[in-house]
Amino acid sequence: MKENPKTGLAGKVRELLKARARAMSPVGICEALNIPKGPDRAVIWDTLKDFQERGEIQKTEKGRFRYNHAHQKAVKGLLKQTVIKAVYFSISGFSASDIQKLSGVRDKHYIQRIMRKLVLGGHIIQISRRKCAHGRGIERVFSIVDRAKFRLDLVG
Amino acid sequence: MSKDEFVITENVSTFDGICNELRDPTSAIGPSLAQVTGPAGRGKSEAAKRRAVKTNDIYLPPMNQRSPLMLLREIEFELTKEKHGRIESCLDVIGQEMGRERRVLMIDEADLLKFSILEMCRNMNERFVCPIVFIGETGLAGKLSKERRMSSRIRCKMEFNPVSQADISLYFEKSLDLGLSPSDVTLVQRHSKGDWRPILTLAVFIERAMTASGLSKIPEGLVRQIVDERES
Repeated sequence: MKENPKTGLAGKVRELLKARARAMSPVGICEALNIPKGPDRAVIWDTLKDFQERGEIQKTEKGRFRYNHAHQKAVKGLLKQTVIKAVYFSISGFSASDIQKLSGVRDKHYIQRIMRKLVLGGHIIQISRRKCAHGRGIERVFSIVDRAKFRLDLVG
Repeated sequence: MSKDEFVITENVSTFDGICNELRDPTSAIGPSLAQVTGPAGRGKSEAAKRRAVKTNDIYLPPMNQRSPLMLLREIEFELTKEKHGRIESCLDVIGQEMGRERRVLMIDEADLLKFSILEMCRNMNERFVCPIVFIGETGLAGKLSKERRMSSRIRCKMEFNPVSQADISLYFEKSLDLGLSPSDVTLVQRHSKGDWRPILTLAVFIERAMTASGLSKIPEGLVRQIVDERES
């Protein structure tokens, strides 16, 4: 079977649609990418069809296309995503124990490791400390810095 | 040592059952609105958050000062990570997304929202077959029953019941690996008045007392002593 040579066109279309807040027509996409009229433009249709099939773009009623940002998977791994979602819905005043309870992930060290990375990335900050439920030791209490940014960057 | 585990109580199971029914397209028997009520501390929000973590359903945290546009933008953002500035644009996106994948919207503290916003949710449900669960304290039921056209469209109604003795036993067993005697369970239930929060606090005090004394089983009288101290 003959394979189509890689031209990087799909990547360019993806970047263009991601950057535009409004939906774009196929002709508009071609013009924005400086693709001349003729057979070259037919390739754009195939690319858009592929994107639509895998849910990466959505077709509006007017036949335009909008990028589906929800399609992005910012964080790989189901378990990690569960922890990230638990942090997202906890919003403020949560500790690793709270996240463990909500996410159902058994390994607390794994949760703490993810939370350390979130702190380093500036996504969550420590707001206080409290005594652990069992009375031995102290646990750190966190809050999300910017919930919208957290959703955009991390929640798939 | 206590294990941080979410206990699936009868209330949580019923709540999940309602959400599953609303989410299932084959169960489309008229409107897909539901009301979940109960006093504070029964675990309504925790059950909704847990569902949002485990599934693709959407949990909207409480915010009493909401305009219709604010709510729509919030829903749109949860669905697509986009926020439009016009009600019409938000509704278009919500409609498209719900057509692509049916997801339950769980609106927490819906009893604090204006009735016009609840009406907007009803219209959204009708237009886009977008399943909505209103969560709130007992006042929510009265608010929704104010208008016949609203109350008649609520498919499922659920009341978060007080914490049962079975729930208390299960919690102590799963979280603390401790078996409570029937009399202790009754005592804890009476102290909690059906609310989870006093039980969690009590469990912390029981565990701390046991750790301090190096005990592995709850001695007779310890629960009563702690309850008396807390109530005095």
